Amino acid sequence: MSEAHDDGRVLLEIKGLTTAFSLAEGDFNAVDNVSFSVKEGRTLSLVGESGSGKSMTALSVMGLVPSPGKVVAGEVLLDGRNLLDMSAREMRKIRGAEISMIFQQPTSALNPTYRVGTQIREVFKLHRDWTRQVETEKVIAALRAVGMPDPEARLRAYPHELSGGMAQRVMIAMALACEPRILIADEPTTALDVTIQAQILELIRELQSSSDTSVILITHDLGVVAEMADEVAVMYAGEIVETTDVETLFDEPLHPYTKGLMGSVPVLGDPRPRLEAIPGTVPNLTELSVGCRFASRCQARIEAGLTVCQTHHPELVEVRPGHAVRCWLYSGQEVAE
Amino acid sequence: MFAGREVGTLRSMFTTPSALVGVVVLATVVVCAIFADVISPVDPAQQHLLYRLSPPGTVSEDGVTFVLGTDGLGRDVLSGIIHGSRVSLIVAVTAVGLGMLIGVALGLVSGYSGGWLDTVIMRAVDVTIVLPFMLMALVLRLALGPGLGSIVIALGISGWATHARLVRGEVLSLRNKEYVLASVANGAPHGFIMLRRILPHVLASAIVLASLQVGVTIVAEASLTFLGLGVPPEIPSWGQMLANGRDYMTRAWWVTTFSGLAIVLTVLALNLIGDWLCDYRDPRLER
Amino acid sequence: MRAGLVVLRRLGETLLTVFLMVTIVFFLLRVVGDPAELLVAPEATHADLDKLRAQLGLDRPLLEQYVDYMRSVVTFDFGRSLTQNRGAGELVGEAVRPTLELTGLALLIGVPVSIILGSIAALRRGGIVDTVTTAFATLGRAMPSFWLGLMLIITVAVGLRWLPASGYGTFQQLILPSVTLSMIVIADVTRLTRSSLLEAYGNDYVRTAYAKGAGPARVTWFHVFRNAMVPVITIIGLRTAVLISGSIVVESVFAVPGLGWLLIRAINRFDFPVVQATIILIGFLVIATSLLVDIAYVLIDPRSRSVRRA
Repeated sequence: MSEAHDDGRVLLEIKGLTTAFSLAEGDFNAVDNVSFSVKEGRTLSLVGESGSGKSMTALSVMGLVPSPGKVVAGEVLLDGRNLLDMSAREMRKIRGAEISMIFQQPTSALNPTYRVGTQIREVFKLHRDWTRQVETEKVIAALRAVGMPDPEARLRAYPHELSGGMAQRVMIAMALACEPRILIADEPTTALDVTIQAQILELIRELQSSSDTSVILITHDLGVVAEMADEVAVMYAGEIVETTDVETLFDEPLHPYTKGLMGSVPVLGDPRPRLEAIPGTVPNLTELSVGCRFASRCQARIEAGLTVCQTHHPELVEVRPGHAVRCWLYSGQEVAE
Repeated sequence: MFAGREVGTLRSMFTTPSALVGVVVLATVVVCAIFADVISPVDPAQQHLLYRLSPPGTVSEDGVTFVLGTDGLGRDVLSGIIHGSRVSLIVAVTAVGLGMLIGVALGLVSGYSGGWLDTVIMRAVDVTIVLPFMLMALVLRLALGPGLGSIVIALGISGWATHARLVRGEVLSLRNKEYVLASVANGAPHGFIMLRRILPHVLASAIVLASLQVGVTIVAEASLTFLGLGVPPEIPSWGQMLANGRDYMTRAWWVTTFSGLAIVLTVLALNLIGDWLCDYRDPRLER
Repeated sequence: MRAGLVVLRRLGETLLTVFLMVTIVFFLLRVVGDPAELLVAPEATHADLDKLRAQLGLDRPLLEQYVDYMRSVVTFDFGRSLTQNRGAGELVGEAVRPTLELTGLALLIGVPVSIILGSIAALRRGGIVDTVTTAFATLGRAMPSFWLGLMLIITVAVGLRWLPASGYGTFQQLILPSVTLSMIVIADVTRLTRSSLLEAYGNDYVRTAYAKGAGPARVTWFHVFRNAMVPVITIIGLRTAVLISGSIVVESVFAVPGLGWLLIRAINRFDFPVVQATIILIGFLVIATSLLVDIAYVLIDPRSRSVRRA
């Protein structure tokens, strides 16, 4: 559980971000009108299953959308500056120095033909103007900060000589070397052993609190969310369907999809005989029907007898203070306590 | 075994322009080889001495058009090329078939038995593979003496190693499949298992490899024949035409040019088909 | 240093391969074929055959011949030429230089051209350079090298009179045969450079590099290029082996007195000791090249140093 900061100053604000893809199979928006904000020193978790658009959102923020994708609408405001308006050169100054990103498979994310030290050093070469000696000291310091045993020797290692956990530490060292304001971690522990997972998450938490870095943590694992996040945004089929702080999300999830996610996680001591899977599958984004994207799988819609879900597309509405939901069950109604 | 895939294969072939070109050209060559006597304008061995070294397009008094010219003895180049296709194709296909036979057999045995036999065979493969095809063929040809048979055998034996290595690899991965283990549990003899259970699955890759080897073999045969160490001179072949053409290269460029072009086009066709085959079986995303 | 151990191992394996090759040559030439019959004129009598056999030492037991043979190979004593009054080893020694010059020049032309063209083709995929280069390489793969040589003679030497058609001695005389040989390299290496670069771009570390703030130029030349060159080096090595054997024919076309030319001449003159010596040396050169490539591979790709070769 992270410490609550009283000062929740917004550092990164994303408004209406839309990233479109144009493929032979059809056109679709991998990221559709996504809005959320990240506060200084806090951790926001983007949750969703594969294909929900969470990784693409992160890549869109970084300006690393792979072709044939393209950001077509919205604003990404870092301290008021719109990153989407920046030139390629300006963006390059931001990446690695103000916003950094780490990825899922750490061993393949590192260049196999260069030593680890050289790769960390590259961040300094790109963003700082230091002598080789200073760079070396900083590299060793960075490795030490991520808990790497024997950093002086390790910096001469090659990526294939490292285990998954160590490689991810190197990635974190690289990402935090220039003390960025925001760290984006895209499923950083999914490919790692469970025990290593805990270590890495702990490391991220420590580093965050000591340097006051904001973290955007992308994951599909609710356990990780519970442990790491301050705020959560749930994504489904390219859209944000619910955002709130982490305690509220677990205590009172509103969106049927969120509830479904909670219900499908096994809990120790829970007497239920079976896990509740969410029936149906994620819709094909190139063939979206009108209305709510979750409608076809939504039990609550049927129970409430709503027809509007299939005809009108719900907006993301703040139905309670600090808690927004994209669902006809709640919009336009005052929720009675 | 290949039931539904055949249609997909054909369709893919027809939609890939390069493969289509390859098939058309190759088909033309095969037709020439089979129907050489019928297609060829004149007898390739017939000497029109009055029209020695005539440029392409020359028409004789008897109304014979030497479409591609004549050589030093007045023989029609086009007829020679059409007949030469026979030798090139037959020698190459036979040689590659021989190499495939030996290679697959040894690869099967090697992969299946393991142990010292495997080690010995694989060592032999290593040595053979390091040495270039031409060199091996040359040494073998030397050992076997002159003659059509020895060149076929020489070319064939030179190609066994790649097949052996490929097949052995596949056998190693297939050896633990359920249907093989089932046969072993049933007490089936080794030969049965190798031939009936493992071989069919290995054959597809072997054939693809063989088709890739044909082009190289044609070139090697032509090279050796050009040097006087391949197909005997009495038999019309492209290599021989190139060798003859060498003597009057400067006066009659068409002999060298066209006989060489025949080789280039044939091998090109084979390569294009081979490329398509490789892409089809193991597509790589080029994004 | 780990790389050193791998190199030593490869060296050992190379020596073993050379040993095996020499043995195979021995058996092929003596057991599969009968050298005496091959070498002798058709009208020879049995007496002549026997005399030749005795002269070549072929009448002794096989094992004795083998031991003798191995001993002489190790001491570089390859006997005397049957047609020229000189040692076979000496002739072979003289012929090495032209072959190395040809091969060297072919590599010098071929490798940079391939890498440059392949890189441009990959970076400007679908562009004019890409299309032309790919077509050119495809054609090149299908061309027998000696035919290319002949065509170059017809067009460049005779038609345009820019360069000499044959012979050895001046630099100009080396150009046409080297260019001919370089095609062996260019045809394959260009295509591989291109596909290797394109494939390397799809790797995760490229995304990481961009995420660190690297620009396209750095990503290409610092990150992608080195990885892409790994398979290219291997292919260059393989093609060099083909180069050396390709020179057998090309030397005959251009009358360059190298190993290939010597071999063919010796075969035509039934000069057995020279034939044997030349084959062994060519085989050795090829194997040595393979070893050099392996060493280069170890230096370039750190992963190969700790993993056992399959």
